[in-house]
Amino acid sequence: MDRISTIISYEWRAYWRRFSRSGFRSGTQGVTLILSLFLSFKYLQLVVIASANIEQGNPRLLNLLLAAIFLAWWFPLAGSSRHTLASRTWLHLPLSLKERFIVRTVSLLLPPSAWLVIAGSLAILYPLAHARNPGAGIAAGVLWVVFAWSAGLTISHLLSNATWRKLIGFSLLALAAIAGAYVMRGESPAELLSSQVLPATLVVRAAMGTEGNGLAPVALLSMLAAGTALAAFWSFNRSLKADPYTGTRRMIIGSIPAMPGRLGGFVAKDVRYFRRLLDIYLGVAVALLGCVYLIVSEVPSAGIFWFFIIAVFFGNAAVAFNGFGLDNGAGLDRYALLPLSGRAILVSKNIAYAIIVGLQILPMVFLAGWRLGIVNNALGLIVAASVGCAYLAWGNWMSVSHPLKMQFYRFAGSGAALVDEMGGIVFGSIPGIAMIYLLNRGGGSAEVIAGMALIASLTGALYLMSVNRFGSRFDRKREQLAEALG
Amino acid sequence: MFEIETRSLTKKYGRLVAVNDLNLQVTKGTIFGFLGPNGSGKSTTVKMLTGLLTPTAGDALINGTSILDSPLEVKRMIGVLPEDLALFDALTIWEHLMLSGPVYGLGRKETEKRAAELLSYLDLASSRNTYVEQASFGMRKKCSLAMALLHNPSVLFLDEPFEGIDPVSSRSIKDLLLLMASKGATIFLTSHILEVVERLVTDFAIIVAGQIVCRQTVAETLRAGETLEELFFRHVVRGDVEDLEWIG
Repeated sequence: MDRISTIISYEWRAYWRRFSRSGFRSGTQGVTLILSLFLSFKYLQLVVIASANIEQGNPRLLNLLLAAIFLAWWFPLAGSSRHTLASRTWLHLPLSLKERFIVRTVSLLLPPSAWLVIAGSLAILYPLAHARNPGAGIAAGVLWVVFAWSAGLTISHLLSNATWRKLIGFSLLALAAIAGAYVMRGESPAELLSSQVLPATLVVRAAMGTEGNGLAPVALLSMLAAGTALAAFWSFNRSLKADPYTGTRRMIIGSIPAMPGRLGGFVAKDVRYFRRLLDIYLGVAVALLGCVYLIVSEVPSAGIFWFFIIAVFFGNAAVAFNGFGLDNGAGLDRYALLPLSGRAILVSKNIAYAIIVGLQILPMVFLAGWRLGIVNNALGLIVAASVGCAYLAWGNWMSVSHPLKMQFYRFAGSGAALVDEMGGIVFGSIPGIAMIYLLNRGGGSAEVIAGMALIASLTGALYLMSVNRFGSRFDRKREQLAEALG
Repeated sequence: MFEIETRSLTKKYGRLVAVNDLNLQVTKGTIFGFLGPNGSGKSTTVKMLTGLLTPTAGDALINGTSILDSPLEVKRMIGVLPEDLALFDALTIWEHLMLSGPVYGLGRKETEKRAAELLSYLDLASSRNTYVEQASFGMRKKCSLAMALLHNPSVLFLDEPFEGIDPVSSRSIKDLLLLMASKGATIFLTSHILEVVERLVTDFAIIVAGQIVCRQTVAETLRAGETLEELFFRHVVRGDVEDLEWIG
């Protein structure tokens, strides 16, 4: 255990060193803390309400909270650093597989975001203690947390393999499509979460004592938790042994066409990089929901179509706000060696972002042309262009001022820039929301179009200003960026 | 006019002075060796000359153009093999060259032609579709070197070009550098392999603790009856160290 504790202590030191290098500002730290406290307070309020509800035999909110905990365990794990002492790079160290697994699991708990997830998971035991069957409920709650943690670990390990990545991606998209179709049929999302096929209901069944003493659901949950824990261990072993490049070569070479122009190579490179960030698949899922809406809805609304466009940008926010996050110090050195200005480099990043988001929006735009007519379709494109410009105007500032290391096949950790990101999402969405307001306010179509043209011109001007200003700043701050990104 | 000229070039990191008041001139068509122990300021100097680091004080001129006033103009003139190779992990060797050519104004066909010839010359043709993250250190180094040569620069900065390179490729690179110098290109290289430097360079300088302690030609060294290695160890003195008694 001495060896493990020594390694963990250095992991802890390295984590905070990386954290301090990422340009964390004390002002942001304070606001992030206040925000976290506020969210924790709201969560605890929900836990108390869930407790009261469960005493009255209503498990709906508890179901929702259990589902939230399950997902919450995924995000810190899928966004975790792979460069730990338990990774492939350190296979030469004389550590057993079990020791490596312990290092891996404990090192994932180092970030404060993981502490919040642990605290939130423990808090769910409170309503379970107030259920009809508290003993079985608490046991089921603990098993649920183990299940969620193990499932998150398994997925984070499997993400290092190309075949599994595709499988997980397709499964999630299929689930999103099923959920989308379910909701579009007018069913409540809460009802969907209470569905008997979902394992969260096992916890509720154990706590409510709907099946006698609740032992049967607890036994089922035990098997699930043990199974996923074994899967986590197996997938960890596999991730250490497997060739991380298997299957990636053919897919990448075959699917990224060469792009024209002086910056074409950089745009193609960034499209490839951005495509490897999991966040953009949130945008894909939203776009898929938008398509389902446009197909299924009897009378689709232009306002909702535009709302989906705004939501797609939300899903891709990490790419807009952290354009250099997937580059490393060596990559930034290459930028510096080539005769390229900071403005040109920012523009190449922005074009790559536009391609990534454009490809997600395109199917919706075609469907909107069919269901809503050409005019609404064209107006939708103006919404997309304006929101895109606003996101990039903010994102260029953030990319240069607050670079954060991101990793392939992981979610972008928001970390120090959480508050700036939230500000950016609000700023980026404002043009789209203003346009939806114009549409819904009524008035003549000429008035709506004039208003939209004005907003589009403003956001376009803002974007050009940001390229100019932050492109120059990139030239001055490149050394600091390279240091922050390692 | 000198092809490379530094004027009181200085780089400080807080209290640490990595390069101190460096004044150096290199004439056109020279293969210039910049020697020194680890941490002496060699790579920092190369980084400042190539735009990777901003000097704390002083300036440098490449073919008469200031690196501070006209950085983009300087970058168009030079080719660089940097210490960290400056490659993108998720691109293939071929894609690196295809990315680089258009930035220097080369058309697609010309870039393809030059890239194919360079890769063939450097024995990388069969590995052109290998991802950099999968390539060996030597392959990565040759990829970075090919990028430095692709646009036929008039000044070449090479940081440890022979480290990690197999003997056959090393010979090819030496021949290429000699050919380039004979056609008027200026080559500024750093290396720890003193035998290679002695046979390749015409001029050299030794830098220790950020300051030049020796600056002469190889011919002068040989005339004085010394080898480059002897001269190097005369200037770079190893401090007293204890034996590692626990070894063995």
